Amino acid sequence: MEKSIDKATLSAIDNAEKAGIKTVWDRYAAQMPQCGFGETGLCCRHCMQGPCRISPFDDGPRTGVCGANSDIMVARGISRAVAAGTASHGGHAKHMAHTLLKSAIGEAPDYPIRDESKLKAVATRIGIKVDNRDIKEVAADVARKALDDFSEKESPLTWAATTVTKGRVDTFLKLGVVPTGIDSAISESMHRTTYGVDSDPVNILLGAIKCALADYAACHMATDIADVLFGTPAPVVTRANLGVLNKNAVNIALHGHNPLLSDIVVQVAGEKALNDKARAAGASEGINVVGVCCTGNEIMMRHKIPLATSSVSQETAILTGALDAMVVDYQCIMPSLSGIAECYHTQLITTMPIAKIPKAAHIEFHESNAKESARKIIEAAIEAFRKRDAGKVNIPDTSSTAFAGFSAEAIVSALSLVDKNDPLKPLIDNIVAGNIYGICLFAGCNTVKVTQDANYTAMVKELAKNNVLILATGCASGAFARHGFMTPDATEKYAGPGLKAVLTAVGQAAGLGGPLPLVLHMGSCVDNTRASDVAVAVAEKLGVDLNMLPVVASAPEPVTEKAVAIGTWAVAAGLPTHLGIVPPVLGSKVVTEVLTSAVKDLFGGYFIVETDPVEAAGKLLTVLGERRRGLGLSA
Amino acid sequence: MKQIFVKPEKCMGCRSCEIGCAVQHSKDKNLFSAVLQSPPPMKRLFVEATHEIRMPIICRHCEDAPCINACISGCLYRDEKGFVRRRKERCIGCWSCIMVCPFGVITRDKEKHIAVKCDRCHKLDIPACVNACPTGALVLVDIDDMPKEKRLGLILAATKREV
Amino acid sequence: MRHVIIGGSIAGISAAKAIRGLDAGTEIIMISEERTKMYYRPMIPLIIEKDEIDITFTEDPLERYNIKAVYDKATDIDVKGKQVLLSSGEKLTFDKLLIATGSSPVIPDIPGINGEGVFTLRTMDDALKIKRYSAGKKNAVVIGGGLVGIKAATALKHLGLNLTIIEQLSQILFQRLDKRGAQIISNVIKDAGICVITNDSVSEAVLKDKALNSVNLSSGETIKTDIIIIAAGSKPNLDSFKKSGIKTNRGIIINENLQTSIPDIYAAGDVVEYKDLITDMPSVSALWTNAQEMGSLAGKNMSGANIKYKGFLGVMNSTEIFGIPLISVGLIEPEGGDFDVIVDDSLESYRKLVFDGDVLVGAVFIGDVTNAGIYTNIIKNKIPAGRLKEEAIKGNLSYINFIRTVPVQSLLA
Repeated sequence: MEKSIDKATLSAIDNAEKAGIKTVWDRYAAQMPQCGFGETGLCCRHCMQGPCRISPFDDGPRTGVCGANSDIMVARGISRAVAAGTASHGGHAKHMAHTLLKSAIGEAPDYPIRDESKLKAVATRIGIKVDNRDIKEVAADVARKALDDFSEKESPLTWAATTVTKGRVDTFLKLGVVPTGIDSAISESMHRTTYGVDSDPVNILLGAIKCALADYAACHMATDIADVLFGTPAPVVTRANLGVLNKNAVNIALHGHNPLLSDIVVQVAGEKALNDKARAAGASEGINVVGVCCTGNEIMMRHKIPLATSSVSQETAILTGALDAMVVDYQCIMPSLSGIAECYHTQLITTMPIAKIPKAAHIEFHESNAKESARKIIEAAIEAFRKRDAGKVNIPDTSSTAFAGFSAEAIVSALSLVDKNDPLKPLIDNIVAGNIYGICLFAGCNTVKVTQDANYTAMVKELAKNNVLILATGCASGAFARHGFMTPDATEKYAGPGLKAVLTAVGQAAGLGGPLPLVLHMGSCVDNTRASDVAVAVAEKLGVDLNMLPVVASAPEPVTEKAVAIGTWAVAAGLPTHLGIVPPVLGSKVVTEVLTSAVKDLFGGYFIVETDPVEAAGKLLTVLGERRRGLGLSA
Repeated sequence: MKQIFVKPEKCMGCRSCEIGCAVQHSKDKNLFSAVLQSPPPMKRLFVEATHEIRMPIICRHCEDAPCINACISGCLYRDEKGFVRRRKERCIGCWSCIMVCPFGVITRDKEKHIAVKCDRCHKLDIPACVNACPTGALVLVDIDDMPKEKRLGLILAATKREV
Repeated sequence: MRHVIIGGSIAGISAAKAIRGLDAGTEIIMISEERTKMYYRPMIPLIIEKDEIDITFTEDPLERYNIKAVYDKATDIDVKGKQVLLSSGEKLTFDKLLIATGSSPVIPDIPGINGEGVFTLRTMDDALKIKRYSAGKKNAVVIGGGLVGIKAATALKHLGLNLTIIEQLSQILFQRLDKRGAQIISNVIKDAGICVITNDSVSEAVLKDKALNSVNLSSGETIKTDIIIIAAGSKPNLDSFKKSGIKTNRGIIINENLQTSIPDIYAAGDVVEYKDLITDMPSVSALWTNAQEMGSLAGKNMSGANIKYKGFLGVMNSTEIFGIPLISVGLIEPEGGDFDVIVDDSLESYRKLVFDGDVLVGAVFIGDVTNAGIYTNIIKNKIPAGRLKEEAIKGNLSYINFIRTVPVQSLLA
């Protein structure tokens, strides 16, 4: 199997091979064969009487030591993955909420409220008065209400209950899956999946859905507060791929997830004194900040910062020999980075107390003096630049134009240029007319198990050809950006006639002089709720629930537990959700059946597992057709 | 002739060899399809353990194979590579081979009522079990390349009977 | 050098294979009464029930081992002149001779069973005759509840006939299964729709209009029947050698080299009388596996080897009866003596182990035959069970138990 379809990535891998440096793909090969019990979800280490495993082939013991059968074992495993994913998004959102509170009470001077209108919108939505109040007071109330959402409350999660359709709320209440606290939902999941608690596989899965709805709330909260503190994204044009590294500049890559770090570093990197220092050190073009992974998406859409690379290929940024510092916060940061950085002059810098890597420099980042920490980081990068070995520099001359920053607000604002009084009308009219056959949100990661970007690019071509409006977040965004799908040119090239006409009309109205890009960049992986906000708005306008809309989701190259959590809430939200790799559940017929079929009767959404991208696109088109017929539309 | 050697000291008891074997003997030879196959595919080797040792018990493709000698239907035979194989269509399910195999590595296909045993993955360069072993507890060794003394040593080490 | 083998079944074929394996050039002549291509004798019941089944050797042993076949019956042996006399009148000289004439069905002395519709089941030809005759018939009686009788009954049942098995003893599968095991299998057979009568025997076959009509039983009962299969056991085929001077008892007496009382004449298979490994008493065996082993050893010794034959297990049977697998080995129904008998009789399976002190001497498996070969091996080689007795009793015996332990230190090295 090819490692990637991306030329720049392959070129960097080639650098590694020549230098004898092992990358993620080598480590994957070295892990072969991977364990079949793990692959099918049939091993359990939840107690010390284990480990236990059950053969997927009807031979050997049919239960673990405690008596858990394959259904219980698989359900517990997948449920814990959702809990871990929720803990990640929860940690991210909580970090945001604390910072917003510090900002409001004057303890975080570097984090002013940048988007007052977003703050007011959020406050109004969650029932906090805004009229005639000091904006900081409002911010403090929003932050406190956000923090309240983490512990166990008497009422449903604010960030879930106020952001979905009435129909969803009723469904969740009826099925008893409404979480009352993000951290308590995680805690409950861990409790019910521990030794000798929940032994009903279907009940365990409903518990996982409850936890996933807490994940949804955490994601929504993180996005809301990021917009409040750093501004709601609006379309920008920038570039993506390793070619954005500049051999004449001090190259600093920001990698991880939370804009609390990256946004500040970007703000400081423009300071003259630091750029002078960089030039004095020999970097004639000063400081060049680039993004990696999802924090790269955050600064891409708010500051036009180019995106160097993403998830699975994160090591390639260092392998160009031109990266002076890799600055990381948390999530998806491979521990391998420190070893690879050691082979070059690159300074790996960790910043979070909960995410340290041996041999990396640790410059802890605090809200109270964020810019000062950011300056230290940049100075460390300049120091590293001095040690750069010109002989090792090999930057692939590859990058693509990328339009980014299509937040829900930005989409509505673009649509309002077509119909000022009723912005959603043009979108709905075109869906009804069939110019837009449906909407697909691409989310998730890149994985060593799939040729990098191959599934994304194959699927997007099929869907766009059939007039499906494409949205993307996270590393899906990275993939599409790298390959030029986030451009008006891609619309001209790949969109079906109906879709092309709509994107052109909106693009013209927005003064672009051409169509909107084929794939609309909606943000980082924590930003998936931007897409669901659009869907909720459309559903409410149509007077139907989410489970009836011709909207689907796809994670063609997923990796993380966060992706499992997101996929689970997408299903609960009523979306048919495609996975491009087989999740570790096939060991249980019950769990497999529930997730791919029975859950449909409860929530409307369900998982579609299909590893072939063209087949997968075909299945999604079939589903969109069914949904259209359900609404009485042409299919 | 290449033979599979078992190094018990390297066996973690993970049963990956069993999974690899069953998958190789499934219809699509792919884990995920194999898991969904009904009736499920059958493994031909068995990871066993005592308090002191764990290892896969595999067919030795014996030189004077008791199973071939006992076969009353012309099913079991030695192929041109020296592997003890089945002519599946000849098996009548009399279980004579099970009765005489001292290693216990022949089992019953309860659906088809025929005997099931290791075919040494005769179509593959490396047998599925060896390929699936993550620790090198199962290795493929060319016995012709191995000095006689070492062979004897290995055999003695591996087969000393418990008395 | 000329090797002559009398008998064309597994003992003879195994001997020829062994001889050829040691000497590529020697002459091998096989005298066979059956003109058919060589076949697997235990498969003949299947011929009755299946239209298309090949029971012949996949590779013809005559070709594979370069054997010259003489289709005739040996009538006598001139041990001094080293000649075999054939019914054609011809004489065949030999340097080494193997007698592997096998055994024949015992025909009980019952009035009326010499006529049409009465069969034994020993050869492929017998099976074909039964198959032809049974077409369109309704009822069949099998005399004898041994393995051959049950297999014949099964085959005819599959063809749609009404079957009755009549066994004069109190249990079927006598000497093949213990009482409880026989009871289990008897129920399996009855559940399949075959009538099993024990403690009774056929006293007379009754003809009506010259055709077989029914059988009368000693108990007074009468059973309608169109066919009678006689499966009342077998006896070694000794008749041809009674006058030759070769020592016989129930079978031909051999020494541990498988030589008869005449040094250049060997014997193997069903025709011999030799030591039963369990009882240590002279015995005859009519088992394929034993015949194969004896034939192979005799062939090697005829070619100059000197391998000692320890004896056979008189009970070493495996089969499947109406979907239920069963294996029995060694001493399965001990009488007297101080034996430790352990029985696990569950709904799904039946397992019986007979220990003589520390040594396993017999085992019965019905339903679950997993790992039975490991038990056979320790019975046959009289390996003391030691601390493995517990494992054996629990049914957990695995080959791993026989492997020398590896010191923990080597894991760390």
